[in-house]
Amino acid sequence: MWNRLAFLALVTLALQAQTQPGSFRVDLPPDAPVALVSADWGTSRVTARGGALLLELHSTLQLKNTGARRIRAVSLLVTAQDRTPGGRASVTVPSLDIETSDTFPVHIDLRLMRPLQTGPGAVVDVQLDGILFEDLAFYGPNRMNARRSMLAWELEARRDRKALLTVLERGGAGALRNELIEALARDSAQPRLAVQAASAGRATAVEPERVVNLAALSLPATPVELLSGTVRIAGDEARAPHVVLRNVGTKPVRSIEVLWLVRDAQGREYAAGSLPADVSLAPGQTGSASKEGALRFSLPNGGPASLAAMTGFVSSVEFSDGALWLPSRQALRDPRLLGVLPPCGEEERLMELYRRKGLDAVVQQLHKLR
Amino acid sequence: MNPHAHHPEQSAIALLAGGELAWQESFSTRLHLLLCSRCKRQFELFRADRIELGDVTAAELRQPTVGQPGAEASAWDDLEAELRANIRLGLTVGSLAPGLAPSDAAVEEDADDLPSPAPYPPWRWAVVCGALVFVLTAGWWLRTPGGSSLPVASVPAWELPTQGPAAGDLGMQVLLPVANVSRTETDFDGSTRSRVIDGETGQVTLQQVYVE
Repeated sequence: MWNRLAFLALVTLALQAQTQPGSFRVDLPPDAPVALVSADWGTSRVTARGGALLLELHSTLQLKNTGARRIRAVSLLVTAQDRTPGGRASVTVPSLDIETSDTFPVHIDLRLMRPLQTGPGAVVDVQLDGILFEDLAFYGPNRMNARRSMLAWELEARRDRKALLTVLERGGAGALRNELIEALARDSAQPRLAVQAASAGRATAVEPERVVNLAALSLPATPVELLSGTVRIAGDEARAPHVVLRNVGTKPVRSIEVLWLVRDAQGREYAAGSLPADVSLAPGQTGSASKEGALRFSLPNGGPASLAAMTGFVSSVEFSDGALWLPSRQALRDPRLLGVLPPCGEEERLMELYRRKGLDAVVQQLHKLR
Repeated sequence: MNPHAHHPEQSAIALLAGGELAWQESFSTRLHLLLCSRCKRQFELFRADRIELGDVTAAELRQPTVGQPGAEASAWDDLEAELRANIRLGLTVGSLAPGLAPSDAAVEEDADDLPSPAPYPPWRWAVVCGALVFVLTAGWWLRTPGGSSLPVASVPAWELPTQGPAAGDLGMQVLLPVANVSRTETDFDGSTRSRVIDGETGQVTLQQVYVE
């Protein structure tokens, strides 16, 4: 009885202490090319869940470009607890065009976990992880590999904007409109599965687990070939993917990303996510990458999906010198992929802009960011 | 003077009930209502309907989302923006699909041939208004997440692994409390990524929660 009361008192004290002003801290390096103008933590709150604290963060930070170059992307690291699963997150804002002295918002809407008993200091720390400039130069500690993801987004964005601009210049506004409407129609017709990380070590009791060979798809001009791979499938779960890769290019490679497609028992194919992996591959070298853990797939109606096969292909390659390879837009228009892969980030942004604001807003963006 | 000889139009009574009748007509209609019990009953019915509809729209269209100040305005704005976006897209697709929608010229031509329509009886307007209120109320009701204090991403993010401070709480799912999530993706290690696109400003926010 007394133990429970003491625990409740401890929780109450901890919550009170941790929701005081100063519980949320934004810590930008003094030499950073951005400065914090304001931080509104809105309805952020801390609640106890079992032996942990659940932090609901709803914040808008106003940052100012204090450097001399235009900013294209910013990534922030939000930390409640480094070692707690779910205690760390990143918030990245790509597709920006921020001139010197301009301010821009960064919205943080996250749920994080941290242990109930921790030392003094802020409950949540927000730090700068990286900034990507217009000339693709990078600034920041890059703790969560922000450079790679921001660079990939920016390169994809430039590729897709260029393609849409070509459509506009060759066929006029009507052609661009048709292109966007087709993309919207493809996206809305695309079959989707809900994906969840399944608990480690869990096995489906109903269906036996089997090892399935991965169907490897090779895109034109890829510098890394996916030679083979396996994944263990049991009912609606896929676990422990393993892929064998070969560097067929001329530059050493330090990381790759493989995209997955899953096929269900009815033969329908779905985009299932990606497998980013750090690999060290010299030209001509063969290596492998694998992941522990499992994913569980469910149908839109909530029922379990019955997995039959998986396909993978290398969707991006990072070289040792920091350069990136991405597939061409033409390669992604392969009929096998076109109806299955989701639109790339920038394309989806422009589609949404078209849907909400109309064609002029898209044309304006294409000209502004050309 | 026989008060029943010249009953006012039903539309005039309806407008009077809503306080929207011009003052000259209002005066004569009110005078008539003092003398005619039938029209007065009609007037009371209109007024009761109006109060009832007003209550429904006030209570349901502006139902606040608990726990998030400003969420009601935001949710209404979202709904409005979504409706506008879909209407815009529908009009564009309709105009691009030949045969689906008649051209403006054809519409005008057809309109010239048609006899002028008879005025609709007032009860039809009431039905139309009722249907509109129903559609808006249903739209709002479908839009509001039931039983949840926050708008939540449509795809569940991840289950807590067996290690960590909430090891005994395996059933709990941590969801990303974000509206407008266009896509979420989960890695084999349990990390979750979401892509949020603000259609009004065009700003994209990528959020990733790590479990390793």
